[in-house]
Amino acid sequence: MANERAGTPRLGELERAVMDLLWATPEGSTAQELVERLATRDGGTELAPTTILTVLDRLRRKDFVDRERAGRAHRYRAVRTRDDVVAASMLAALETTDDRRSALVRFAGAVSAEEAALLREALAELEE
Amino acid sequence: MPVDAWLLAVLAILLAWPVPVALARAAWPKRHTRAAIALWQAVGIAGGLSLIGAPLAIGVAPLDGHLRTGLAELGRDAMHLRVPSALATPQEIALALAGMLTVRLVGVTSLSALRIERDLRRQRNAVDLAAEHADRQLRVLEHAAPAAYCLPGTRPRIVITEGTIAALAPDELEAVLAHERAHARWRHELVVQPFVAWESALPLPPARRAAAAVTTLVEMLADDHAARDVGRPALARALVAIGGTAGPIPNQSVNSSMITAASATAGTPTLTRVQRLVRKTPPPSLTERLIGPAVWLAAVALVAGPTWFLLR
Repeated sequence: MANERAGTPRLGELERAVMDLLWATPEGSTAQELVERLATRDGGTELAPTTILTVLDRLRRKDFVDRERAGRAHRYRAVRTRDDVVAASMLAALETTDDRRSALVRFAGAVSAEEAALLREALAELEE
Repeated sequence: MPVDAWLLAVLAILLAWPVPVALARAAWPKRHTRAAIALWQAVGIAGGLSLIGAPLAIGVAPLDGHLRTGLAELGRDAMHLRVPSALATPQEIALALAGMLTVRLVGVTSLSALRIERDLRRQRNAVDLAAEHADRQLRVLEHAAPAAYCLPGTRPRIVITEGTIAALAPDELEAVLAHERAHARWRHELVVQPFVAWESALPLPPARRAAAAVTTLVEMLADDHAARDVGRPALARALVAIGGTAGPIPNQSVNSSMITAASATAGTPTLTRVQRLVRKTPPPSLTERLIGPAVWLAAVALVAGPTWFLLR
């Protein structure tokens, strides 16, 4: 249990670091290149290649990364750009439809111009 | 035909239609949010129990005056692959109806829960990987449109955008965060999700209104937490700043399983919430003070009645 607690955030951090690198290189990277670039970033300590492969595997299962054969290794690439992921998150969370599928609630819904005026009027009551 | 089985059927109809419609229209729930949520939950539970219980009771009525013993007899015969001879076609239809309703309610509810969990997992992955981690819980998306929401769960995430930070004064931002933290901390999704499932199982106007009303009540509950922490004015200003200027998000086509946040009348609850925060409340009258306990009592009675009928 203690191991798990220490392990999960570590993997999570690595996943983010790997995604940052892959987002910065649209042409993709091999696992070995990722190990080297992470080592440069962290000041020399190289991670075991199996660790990186585990991280890449997790990212593939989450559908953030795909790979293709490049000689004897695989070249890994981000499936979508970071901007696309951010935009999709926003749309997913804020989309306005009648089909309320989730209990997710955003802070305040978008309103019509008419209602915006009413809102400001209500606020004026407060400031009086 | 036993009178009490028909009473249960009448209750099922009342709870499926006129009661939710009246409750969604009432004005008192915004002053008694907790009691109102409890009553909505009671309406949902009692509605489900009576909807399934009524056809069951009608179906086994010829076997025994009591549902439980009647069902036991039916079960014993079913083990021997036969239908009790006392049951005629109308009773068999009623029993089949009870079976179909049970399968539908259980099936749709589980599907709805699975779908929500899958969407939330995707959302959590996306914000964990693509957003700035401001702290263990808070994620900041690099996006200009103001937005704030909570991805609920055992390890909840609160998501805001850079646009939110830019649009709000420090105390307003604190109010928004306090509001979302209240959702996360008190697991408000567990209150709302059953009503979302109810709406999927019975896609009728009353169920839609129930889901919308409970969603708004939960927002008010979170507003009350935030107002206590940060004060009503800051929260009201934040609501107007985000609700009043956000405008519609570009209408791109998105995956139909995406998480939704508001119905077509999304603005109206925002206005009600702001008015609720800014209006001075007169000291409550005696009637006003009795509403709360009366509603709790009604909620308990509503669940206890059909439960007693089914188990006696």
